[in-house]
Amino acid sequence: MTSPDQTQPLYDLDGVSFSVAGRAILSGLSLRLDPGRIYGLVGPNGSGKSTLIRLLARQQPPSGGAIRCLGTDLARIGDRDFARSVAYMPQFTPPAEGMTVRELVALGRFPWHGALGRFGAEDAAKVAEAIAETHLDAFADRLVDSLSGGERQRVWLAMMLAQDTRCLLLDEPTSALDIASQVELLGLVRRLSRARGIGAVIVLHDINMAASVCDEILAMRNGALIAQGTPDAIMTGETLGAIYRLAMTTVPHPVTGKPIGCVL
Amino acid sequence: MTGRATITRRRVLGLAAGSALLPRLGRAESGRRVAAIDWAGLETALALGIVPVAATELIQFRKTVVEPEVPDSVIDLGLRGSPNYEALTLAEPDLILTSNYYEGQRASLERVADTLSLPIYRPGVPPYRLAAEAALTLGRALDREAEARAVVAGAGAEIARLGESLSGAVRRPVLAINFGDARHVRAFGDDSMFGAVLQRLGLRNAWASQSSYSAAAPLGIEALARMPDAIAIVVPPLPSDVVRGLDDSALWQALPMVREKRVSVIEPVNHFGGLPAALRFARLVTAALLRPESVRHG
Amino acid sequence: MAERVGVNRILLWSGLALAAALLSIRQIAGHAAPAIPLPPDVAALDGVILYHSVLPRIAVALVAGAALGLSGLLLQRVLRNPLAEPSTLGVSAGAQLALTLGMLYAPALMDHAREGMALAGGLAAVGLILAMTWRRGLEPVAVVLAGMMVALTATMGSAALILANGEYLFSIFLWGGGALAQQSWGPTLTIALRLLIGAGAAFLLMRPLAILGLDDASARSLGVALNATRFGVIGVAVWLAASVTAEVGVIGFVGLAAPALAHLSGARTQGQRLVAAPLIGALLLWLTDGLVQLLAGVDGERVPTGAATALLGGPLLLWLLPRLRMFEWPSLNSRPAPSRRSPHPYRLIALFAVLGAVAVGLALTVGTGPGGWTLSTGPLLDTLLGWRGPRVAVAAAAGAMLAAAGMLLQRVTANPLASPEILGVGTGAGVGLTAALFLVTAPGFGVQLAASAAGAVLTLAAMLALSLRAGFGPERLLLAGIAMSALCSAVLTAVIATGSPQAFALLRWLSGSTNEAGPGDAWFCIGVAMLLLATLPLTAKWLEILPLGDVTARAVGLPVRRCRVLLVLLAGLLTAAAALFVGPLSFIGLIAPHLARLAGLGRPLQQGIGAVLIGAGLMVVSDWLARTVAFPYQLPLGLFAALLAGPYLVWLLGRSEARSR
Repeated sequence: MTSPDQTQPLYDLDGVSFSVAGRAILSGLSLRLDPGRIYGLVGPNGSGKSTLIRLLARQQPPSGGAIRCLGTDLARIGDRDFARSVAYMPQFTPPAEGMTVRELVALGRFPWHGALGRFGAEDAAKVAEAIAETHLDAFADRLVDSLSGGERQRVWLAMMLAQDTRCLLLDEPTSALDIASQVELLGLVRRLSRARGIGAVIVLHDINMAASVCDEILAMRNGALIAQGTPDAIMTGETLGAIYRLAMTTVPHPVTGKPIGCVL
Repeated sequence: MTGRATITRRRVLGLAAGSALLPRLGRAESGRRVAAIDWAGLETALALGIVPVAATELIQFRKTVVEPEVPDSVIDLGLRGSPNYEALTLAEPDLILTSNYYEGQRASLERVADTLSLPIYRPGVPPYRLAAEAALTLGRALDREAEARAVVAGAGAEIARLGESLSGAVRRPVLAINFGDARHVRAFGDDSMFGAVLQRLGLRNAWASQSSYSAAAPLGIEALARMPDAIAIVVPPLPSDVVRGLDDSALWQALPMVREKRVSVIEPVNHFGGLPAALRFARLVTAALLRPESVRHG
Repeated sequence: MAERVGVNRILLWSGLALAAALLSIRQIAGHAAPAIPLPPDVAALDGVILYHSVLPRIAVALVAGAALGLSGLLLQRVLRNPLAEPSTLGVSAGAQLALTLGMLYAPALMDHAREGMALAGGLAAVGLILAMTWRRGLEPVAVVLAGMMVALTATMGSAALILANGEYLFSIFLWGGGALAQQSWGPTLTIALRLLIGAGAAFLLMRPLAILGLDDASARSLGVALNATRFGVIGVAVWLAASVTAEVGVIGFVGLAAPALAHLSGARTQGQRLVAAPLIGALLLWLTDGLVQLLAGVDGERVPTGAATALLGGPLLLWLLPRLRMFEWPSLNSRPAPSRRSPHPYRLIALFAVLGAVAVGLALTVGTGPGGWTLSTGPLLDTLLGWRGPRVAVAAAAGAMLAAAGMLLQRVTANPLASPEILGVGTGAGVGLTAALFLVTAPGFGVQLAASAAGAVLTLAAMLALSLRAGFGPERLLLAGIAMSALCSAVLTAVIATGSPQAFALLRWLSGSTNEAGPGDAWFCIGVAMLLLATLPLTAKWLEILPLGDVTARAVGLPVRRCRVLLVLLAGLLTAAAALFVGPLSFIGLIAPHLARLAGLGRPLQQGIGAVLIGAGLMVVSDWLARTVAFPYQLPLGLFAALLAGPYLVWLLGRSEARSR
């Protein structure tokens, strides 16, 4: 799993801040994310984690500081070039009125063929691969709006895969899903990330889910990064207590023995 | 379709004779084929003794213009603003009478036949003189110059005679109005035909200010209170709910002209007509003013 | 910050009320204290004018405004629909149609049952709309669609009746435009009585009304007799609006604006709104009428007050809309049910093409003459083709362009109700055309086209600029569009009321007719249509991505802003070119894309081609009907476009819902 960019950090944030109407939402955030790794972004409501992922996805420009993606300043990357490097799933995916699964997934190829380019054999192959990898073959010609919540999130994930990027950004992809669908979706993300060697940043509410899926956890509070480390390093009563301002502790998982956070 | 055989025959004839020949042929006989888009043109043509082959909005014309009478042979072309060109083509006119208000149709009309625009209503220009000019122009175009001169002179003379019969009888200013609904009137100013006729009759128009072409801006009837000594001439149409509304209106009943029974409703007459309408209005107004006791409304 | 905003709003309303009061005092002072001494009978008359005209006019403005505000609030509440109001639900238009029918065919009845006729018309319109959308659970989008269709059809119907009876359109604009001049206290007392009863009923029904604001299931589980309450409230609201129409004519916009402005001004609870909406409605109409009288010259008022409400309320609503963050209504985001996708889209397209060709053939060969219906052939057909050919070509090209513009707008804004007509683009083109007619002496065709295109693009750009502000949901865009259309129409009405030759030209344009189309126009129209439509395939990818929203569009690398600008420009040009020939009021742009989608054409290019064919075909058939039905009198094109496509659209909406369940 080596590529020429392996030496470049996936993201490099230097003193990034973001404010709306004079209110600071992020302040002086510096951070380095490496390629090929899965990062979990956790923290209480209003901690700025969704804002951070929107900045990473270039949905909004930062108010101050610099964000570099694979060595280049975000502002200087072309629209389609950026979309070939980074795929983003918003917290609320829009209704895809009247579109079939295959058509929606095929939109992931837009950064590669553009508005006027031909949808070629390679594009078709990538779409087919994405659909197969997300186990959507049976639904490929169904309307997206007719699927269940978990299936729909898989369609959007497939679209991101078809985009063939170096990195996936997912903003609370599991918030509307039942527990089985959550496990299925995040398992899929982890498997595909490993198989394709692509990195991922996932905003998650469930700290235990984050610990079980991610390589590294970034914990935020009040617009600042307050803890960063492997799940084992973060999953201590003390750190969790600092993140959520609650008396917390961990207990070992009955099967794997990994620490599980719980409120005292 | 009854007209079909004649149409094809006439077309063939037209092609054979060349289009330049047809008008000359027409001029030699009385059957010049005229179509009228504008009502003033229709009136004026009828006054010159020409029966048009086609004209617009005849249902309404017979109801609100009344004279001159339109023979049944005239084909109805539909709305003035949107004439039916298929019907017009099938009527095969060789001259179409129109006016400055139908400038947008000129290109289409000219595809059917030559057009003659007879402008009578221009903002700020007294329409009576233009109406007389229109009659003379039409007379020249239709080779009826003598008739046209006679019509113009006859109208002038009769209006003058009517004016004389009024002299001394009417000292008050006269107001010509039309009811939009029970609460609104439009008043005819000096740049309207009715205003011009009042002037020629030697009467004073109580509505002194300009009225813009259509006199369209509605006046609340309370505005009539500003002319306490005027005599009002009501020009139809006068819908029945207006009559009922006026009966209930305390303000209307309190107006001096109503209290003192100085309101007359005359018979229908074209608001934007030519010389015939002017003459008809003059006759109707004179008759109304000379009636011993003016009735409140019809 | 919130408090400051609240204070500002109170200051705003107080200022407006003060202005209205000053205008009224000016009116009263003009009669109570004449500047020059007058003879006694004239002074007495001044008293009569004051008592029977000036004061009742102020009073009627207040009660009519309040009645419309209350009516709008009740309808919006009970239908859970922020766009419901007497005009969008066709109440005013239905009442007006009934009054027109009565005036023409039963004048004796009109003397005694004027209000009854108006009420019957209003109830019929609302009943029709409810019946059409019942199966969709009175979903706001469907209700507004059906309502606009019914309102438009009724308005056009009134116009057609008057036209076919040989009256001038002028009278509709002048006397039907909601004029408030009064000569007695009768109308005031009539409306005030209805208002009192309506307000009483509303306060009695306050609790059920609050619950009706929830969804049906919650309302039912709270034990509300859902349908009985609903119909009761609708009945009261319609009665209020119909009696206003019967007494003073159609007054637009107050019923829509007053509840929205009440909401925007911070009236949150049911009770606050029940007080605020009528008050704001009364204030709006009072102020507008004061301004209309202030601007009136000695030769009369320039604009009917009923149209002028839009001149005042429109900008007010446009200004307030983006200024409030907490402005979310439930359920307008609920989209039409997923439609069926045809397995053979190109067969469907071929079918539409064949139907279109049949329509063209019909329009070219069949017509009416003095002797009735005829199928023309041979030399006669050659003669008639000279007229019919250009008409059919212009109608087809215009229909195609409007349909394409509608599809573009629906996809760019991700809003199923967006269309050139509803976003005010057509009337915006009209304002541009007006400017050209008045600023340039005898403007050529190129100037007219350029001016109306500028008007259309500017209107559309304003709409989009508004919609791009954060949190500007689909319902806000529609409100803004309706405000903008109302504003542009009011400008047009004011210009038409001048009665100048330009006004005459404008009026003919507004009623929508292909009658003047010549061969030159036909080739030009076809050329422009071909040129603009040829760019559609190039935008297919954008049109597929944009409905998913900006976030997704940016995420897949679409240059969102540039795409929007280009597409808006294209839609504006399409609309302006079409509207120049067929007027602004056709609704083809709204209907055709829906028909294509509901027929099973889902992808942008297929939907586009389908919509273009449907639009062209519908317009050709509408034009043919407009030409033949009342021969030789020609009726407005838009009447038939709405009559043909409206019911089919509503039926399809209902059917697709039933299927998906």
